[in-house]
Amino acid sequence: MPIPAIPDDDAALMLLVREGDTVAFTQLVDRWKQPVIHFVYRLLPDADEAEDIAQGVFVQLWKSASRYERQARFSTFLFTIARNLCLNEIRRRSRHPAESLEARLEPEGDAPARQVSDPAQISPDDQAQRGELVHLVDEALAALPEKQRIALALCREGELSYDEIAVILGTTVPATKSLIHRAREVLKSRLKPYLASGAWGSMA
Amino acid sequence: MTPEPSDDWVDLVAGSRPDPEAVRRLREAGRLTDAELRRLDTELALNRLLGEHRPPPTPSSNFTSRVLAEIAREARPATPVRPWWNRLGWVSRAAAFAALALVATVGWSQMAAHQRSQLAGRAAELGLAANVPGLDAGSLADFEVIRHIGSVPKAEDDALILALAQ
Repeated sequence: MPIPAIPDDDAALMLLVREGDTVAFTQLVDRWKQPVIHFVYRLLPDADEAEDIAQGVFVQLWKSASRYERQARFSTFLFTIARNLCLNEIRRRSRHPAESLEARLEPEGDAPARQVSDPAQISPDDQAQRGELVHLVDEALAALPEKQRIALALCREGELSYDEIAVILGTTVPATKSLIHRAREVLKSRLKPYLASGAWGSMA
Repeated sequence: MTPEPSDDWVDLVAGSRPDPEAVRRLREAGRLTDAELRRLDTELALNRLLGEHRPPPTPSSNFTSRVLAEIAREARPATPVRPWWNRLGWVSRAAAFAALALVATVGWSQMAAHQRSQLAGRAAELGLAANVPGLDAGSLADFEVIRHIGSVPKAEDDALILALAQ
């Protein structure tokens, strides 16, 4: 995953966005769309919905630009918004499990439709094996407490430091490390056979 | 048992994208026991599994333009509800006004004609009533006598009958 290379540059761009600069905003979206989509996807594993929510994250970023202060790291500001939107969606789903996000976020009027690229071709056997493993890992991740899951996703997909994750979660660095380590222990115990054999390696 | 993240190397491996060079140095430095080396392998295997089990989606090519379109859509001021006639041009409005005026004029003239014909009908009826033959004064006097017959006392009638018989 490409990582935005110049954090200070992001802060400078965000200050321009605060003044209503759409060119600076476009640069930020282009730089950060992938980490945000990946983060959302780890919490809500549906590609279309992840993209819709990521879109909402950037819309919210634009709206709340006036609240951004230079002292804050841009990544923590952005992923705090992403975390909040994901939590809202997770809680909304738990209240209305049958309701589709697609219906809620249907593009209106002249909004451009999403352009989806073709998925890679995978043989049926590999697809079945892979599907089983994906299901097991998804189950193991879903069984984690919400905070551990978010901490793990921020760590792996947001590529944030423990300090940044602590700011986003509103906790301390030791507590953040503890959340991540506990999550990893649970996953290791549940996925032990696959970790020992490396069975996923040939399917990846 | 809850593991305590006391070792730096565990933080390094469990953190985001451990540097492969740092991991190699860790392995070669001889700092780790056999048990720790086994744990290191398990942690790295978990990283691989989490990273590869479900490849994350690639953003769609128009992602940024969709975000900008959504922002523009939300920024548009809500259009106030205008009366339907405001949506017509002035020519259409004038034509509609003329049509309404025509309808009103025709309606009014029709109503006036109807009222005039009703008045004429009533006048004709009055003329007919004036030609009916009237009653003379004698008839009216007899009428009064006949009308009072029922109210004359019966004894007076008897006396009158006797007097006429004599």
